[in-house]
Amino acid sequence: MASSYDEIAEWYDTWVGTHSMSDDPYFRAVEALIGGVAGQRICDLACGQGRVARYLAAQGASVVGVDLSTKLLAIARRHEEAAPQGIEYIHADVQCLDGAAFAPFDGVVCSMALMDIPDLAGVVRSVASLLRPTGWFAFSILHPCFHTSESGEIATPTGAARTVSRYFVEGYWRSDTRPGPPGKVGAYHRTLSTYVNTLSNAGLQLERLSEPGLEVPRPQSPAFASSGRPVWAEVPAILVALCRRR
Amino acid sequence: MPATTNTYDKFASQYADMMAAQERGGVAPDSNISRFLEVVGDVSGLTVLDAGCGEGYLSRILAQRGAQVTGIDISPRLIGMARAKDPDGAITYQAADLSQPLHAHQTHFDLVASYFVLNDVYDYQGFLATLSAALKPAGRLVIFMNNPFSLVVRGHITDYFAASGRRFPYRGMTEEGVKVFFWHRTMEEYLSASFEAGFQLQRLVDVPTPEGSFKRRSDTLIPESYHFPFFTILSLAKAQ
Repeated sequence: MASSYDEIAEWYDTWVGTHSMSDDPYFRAVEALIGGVAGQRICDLACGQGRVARYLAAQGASVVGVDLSTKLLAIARRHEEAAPQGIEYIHADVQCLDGAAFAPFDGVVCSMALMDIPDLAGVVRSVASLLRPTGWFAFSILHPCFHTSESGEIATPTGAARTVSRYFVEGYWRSDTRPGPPGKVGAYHRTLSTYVNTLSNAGLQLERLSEPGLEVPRPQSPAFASSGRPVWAEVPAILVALCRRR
Repeated sequence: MPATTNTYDKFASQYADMMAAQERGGVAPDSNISRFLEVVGDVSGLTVLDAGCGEGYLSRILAQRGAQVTGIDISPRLIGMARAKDPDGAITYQAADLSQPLHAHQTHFDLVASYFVLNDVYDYQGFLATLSAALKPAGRLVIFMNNPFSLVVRGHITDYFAASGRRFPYRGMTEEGVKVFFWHRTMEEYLSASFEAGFQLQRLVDVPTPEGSFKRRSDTLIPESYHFPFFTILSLAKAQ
């Protein structure tokens, strides 16, 4: 199985930027829920080019990164060779990982990736199998209540206004007008209820949820270039959750 | 009027007229009440608290389905109307502010059902804490509420974050003479307060807006093809 991110690996690597994850408001929101990771064994699910894995390893975690894109993994491994942190990278489909093949993890993190993956239930099953009992799962996604296949802006006499439509239409969407991966390779929309109930059904108990607004200043990277429009600062850009394996 | 009090008592008769019309319609398939009762499940033989019972619409339905129902509401006038509609006294009604501790019913109920109430309570944290204390261990709380995202999408409020804690009139009810309010809170605030009160979220339901039920207003920015849940059902369980 090939990853759609193979086609855009170089573009994506530039797009996410080179700033530290500690300067990334999206990841800071994840970190706020995880707390300290020193000494923990963590799986970075859909790790891409490894920026989250490298950051967690620098905080003292023992990290395994898993991704479907060989090209993104090649970039991740180049970083590891240039500055070894003991990160193990594995090429695998996170929709059907068998936890029995790994030593149990204290935590699984999945940063801004679940909305790019077709089979949510499969990923969540993988997560549950990777975690030790009471282990944690933290993830961030584009906020499903404001980013649908038909969300955008309309002009009004008083300025731009947000619109959201087709909330209940789940599945693949792609928009040429969207910056970032939704415009390049598309994404999979799901309702908030689908996210919550899929986790709950797999034995992952939602413990905390946060809806960070976009902080200012934002990092100097293309990923944040177009997200600073005031009309979008009024609603949460992403949804962040912490769950615990029952 | 303090910014933290609602006006259901003042508009009790108008509100009761509205609810009576709804009650005459019965529990129609795919209606909000039908979706709520589906999540509530079988209540036969359970001790149930109807939290924010108003004039008793939900309490009567639950009692008809075999529950031992206590209905509590902050409005004395609505409680008086509820009692008048329950001549046999099958339901126990009480006027009380559920955002304050409820000492008489600690760890008493199997289930708390709360229908269109949470958004109308200023002290939602105190309300959730009271409901948790009233439940037996592993007891369930099922809440039907306004979806906080919908209020932003529909243009009732502009800024999801900055509007938190601010009071807004219910447009539709106000037009019918029921001049009552809701306070906007973010979903994060509601869920954090639920977890803080000792609840676990078992299920979340995005309630679909029935086709044709929504009249698009000229002063809102909702697209013609608007499909967004106006309401959310939270099914919570008290941690043991």
